[in-house]
Amino acid sequence: MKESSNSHDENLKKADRVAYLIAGHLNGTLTNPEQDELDDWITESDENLELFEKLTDEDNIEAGIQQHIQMEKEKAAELERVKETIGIRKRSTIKKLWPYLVAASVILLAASTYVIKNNNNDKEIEKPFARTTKNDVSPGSDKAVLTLSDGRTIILDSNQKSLIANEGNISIKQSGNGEIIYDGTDDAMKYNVVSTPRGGQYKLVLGDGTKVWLNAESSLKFPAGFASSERTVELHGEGFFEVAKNKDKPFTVKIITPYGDGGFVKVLGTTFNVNGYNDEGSVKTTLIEGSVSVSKGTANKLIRPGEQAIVSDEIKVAKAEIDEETAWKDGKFLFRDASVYSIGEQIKRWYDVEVEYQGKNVQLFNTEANRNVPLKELLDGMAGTGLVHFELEGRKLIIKP
Amino acid sequence: MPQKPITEQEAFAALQAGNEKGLDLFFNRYYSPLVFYATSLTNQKEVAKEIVAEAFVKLWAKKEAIEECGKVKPLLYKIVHDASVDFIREKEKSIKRAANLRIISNTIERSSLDALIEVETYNQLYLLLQNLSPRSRQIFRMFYFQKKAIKEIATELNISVNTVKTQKLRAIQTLKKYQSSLYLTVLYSLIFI
Repeated sequence: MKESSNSHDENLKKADRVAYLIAGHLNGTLTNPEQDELDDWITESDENLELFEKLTDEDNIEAGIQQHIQMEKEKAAELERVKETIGIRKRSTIKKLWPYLVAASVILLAASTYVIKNNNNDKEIEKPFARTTKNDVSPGSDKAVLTLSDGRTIILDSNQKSLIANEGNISIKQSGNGEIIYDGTDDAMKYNVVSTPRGGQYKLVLGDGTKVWLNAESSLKFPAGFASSERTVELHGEGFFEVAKNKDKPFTVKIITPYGDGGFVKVLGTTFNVNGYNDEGSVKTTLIEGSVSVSKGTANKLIRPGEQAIVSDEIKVAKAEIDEETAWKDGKFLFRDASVYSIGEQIKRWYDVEVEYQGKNVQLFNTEANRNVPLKELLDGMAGTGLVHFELEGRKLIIKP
Repeated sequence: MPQKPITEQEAFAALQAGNEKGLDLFFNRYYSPLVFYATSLTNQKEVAKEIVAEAFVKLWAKKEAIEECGKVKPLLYKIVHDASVDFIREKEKSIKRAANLRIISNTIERSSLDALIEVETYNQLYLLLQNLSPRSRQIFRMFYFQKKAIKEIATELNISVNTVKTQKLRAIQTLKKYQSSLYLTVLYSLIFI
């Protein structure tokens, strides 16, 4: 049921007037009768008083003004988008306007928050997910396996804090919080491999000081000491790199995907994320700072901070959602308009479960969660929208609409 | 760049004639508060931006049918309101919890008025502040919003008490002038050559 146009107009007029009075009150520009009018409005109801207090709160004012400043910045691009849709602008590279009904079908996690927030007195909020599930799965943790150059393997876990091996003159230590550190120099190129299983992650400090965060189901092959004129490592899966600056020795990440060669990322000293899981048939390199050159075969592209190179048969460069790409490294899941398939892939790797998709899953989700929560907790939020259903049996997760 | 004042009337005439400058003016004037409004209702800024962009597309499509200039703003707010409510309803429907539906629906109308008041308040404050020099804007914020004493402001900014007083007075004069001009619905376009 929609309101009639008249009552909406009246609301608008009323809102304008009250806003004028509150803004004037804040500015100290009200006349005495206007101040009286405002006082009358405030004392009219508890809700009005509450709203007045909210709107005159210093932090809220600041946030309100900041939000306007932010929107003013986005305005020009949005106007172009509107003109393009209307047809007074030629098609450009700007994202086309979606009909809002498409947006309306994009049901976000906030939906469930909204319901709960507005129903404080409702104690019987059902959890559809909890109902269909008997067990739970704990999240991944810091674990990996180190393979030394002579083939020996050492299981790494975050509790150890000690020297664990030597490669020539290089000592390999564990710091005790899911981190392995290479220290020293050696002329022989002895290759080591650190691999994480599903449900595992680990951090490495390489011999040159470069830091690498390795996500689940990934591995990094690297020399214990970088003796040659180049620094080259090989990555399977996903890694976040903070490359130690050394302009005389470029740092190259060679990416191996399940389908073979995923190209190279070449840098001098910089911070970036490489995702070579290849779920969508491509390797994504996201640059946080510095500059990197991404190549595959004979193709080669330079990307700038905030950009992402997507390498498949060709190299495409797009604007990156940095926080989304690197959330994992900070112990978070961050999904924006993510399909259940891309969410499912991340769940599979981090919770070490098999994922089966049933039916047509078209919904997109926005959600943020810590990676250290049990699986059920992560899924409850999404299940709460009623748009997706999960069944968990042992280590098998079924996702269906 | 000199500001060329154009009345909302002129903008309206341009809009009806299919001149995109008319659209520019209304867009520049109402885009931010509308997004703010839709965000308050839907809780989701990205959705809000789509709704508002779509509202301007609709405005353009309906431009010939609008009776008078004063109807543009209510029309935009109405379109955005209805689209936001549709979005919430759509969401409710998909959540499929009959018991909770009524409660949400009842809150929509109240929160819609609250949201209107909120957006208009902050929009007015924002517009007013844009008319001040950076220095008086800073003093103004400290004095009126953060409720700091004149002496405190003077110490913090390392200027004399008299300077603070003068700047404050000047700010008030500017604001009073501006506030009355708001009632004449004068639009200042910043993007014209």
